[in-house]
Amino acid sequence: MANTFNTTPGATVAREMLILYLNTGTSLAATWSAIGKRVEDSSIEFDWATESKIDIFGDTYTTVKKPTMTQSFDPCELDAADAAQQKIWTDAIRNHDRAAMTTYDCLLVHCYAGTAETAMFAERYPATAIVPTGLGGEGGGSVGMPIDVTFGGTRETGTAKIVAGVVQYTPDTPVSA
Amino acid sequence: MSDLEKLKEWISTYPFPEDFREYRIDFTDATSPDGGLFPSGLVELSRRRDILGHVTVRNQYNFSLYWVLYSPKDQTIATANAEWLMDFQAWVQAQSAAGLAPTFGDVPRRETMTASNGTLFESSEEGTAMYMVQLSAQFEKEL
Repeated sequence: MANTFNTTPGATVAREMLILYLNTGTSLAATWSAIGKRVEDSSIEFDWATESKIDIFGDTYTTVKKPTMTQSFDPCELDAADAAQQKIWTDAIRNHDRAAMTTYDCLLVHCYAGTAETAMFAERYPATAIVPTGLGGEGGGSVGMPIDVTFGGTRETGTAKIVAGVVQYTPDTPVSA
Repeated sequence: MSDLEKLKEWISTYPFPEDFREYRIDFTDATSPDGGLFPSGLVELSRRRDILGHVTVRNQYNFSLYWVLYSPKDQTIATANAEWLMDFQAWVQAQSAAGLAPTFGDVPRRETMTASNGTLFESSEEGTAMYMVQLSAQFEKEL
């Protein structure tokens, strides 16, 4: 079986090879901006709504639903160079635009899977909720805006190419019936 | 302007009682009032990496400041020397708290400059004495 991962066998995958991007452009001309600058620890949580039951013969059967995926970014210190953060701040903090806050176009790029740099596995979630959970920080420090992300919308898979930090996403070709 | 030049220029703004505003690097003349700035290295205190791969380091510059002054055998001179030695350390603290000390990193508000361990280092037969203060500057750099 060919390796699904494009990294060196025997070596662990660096954390920066799993990056979440927010579309700060338009739906027709996406501009993918990374989320998580200065965040040192963040993981996607999967809730599969797992249910198990034991039948009258003593056998166990388990059902698993499509996962609800969430991810928190903390502290997310405000930075004028962070386009994703400015979009989230404008929608949520300035405008309290709840519609915008639940319809973000996000791209999760797995740089360690697929063909390195040119065709890496990616998932697009066009109706993702991003909610700031706070705004502030300690004296002498920075203003932080922690956010909770809940991936949503019709999931689409494809590949991503990253050239000089610019992400280009290509959806998989649908298999015709 | 180099970090060393920035530090020299800033220290020279302290109103010393003696007339030596131009510090020399790694040298002091032991026979007359003089000042010398002795860099003693950079220490990396911590290194952090964010989930996007950006690296931030917290560094510390260490310096020793030496002053050659008139001998403290005379108690009036000794008291004056000790007083401005203490005052200099308080001045550094006040300058740092007010954001007036030189900065070396990418996040100025997270920088600190401290002066500590001011002491009489040695006396000479020529009627002079060498005083020393340790300066430390902590700063962050985003690499």
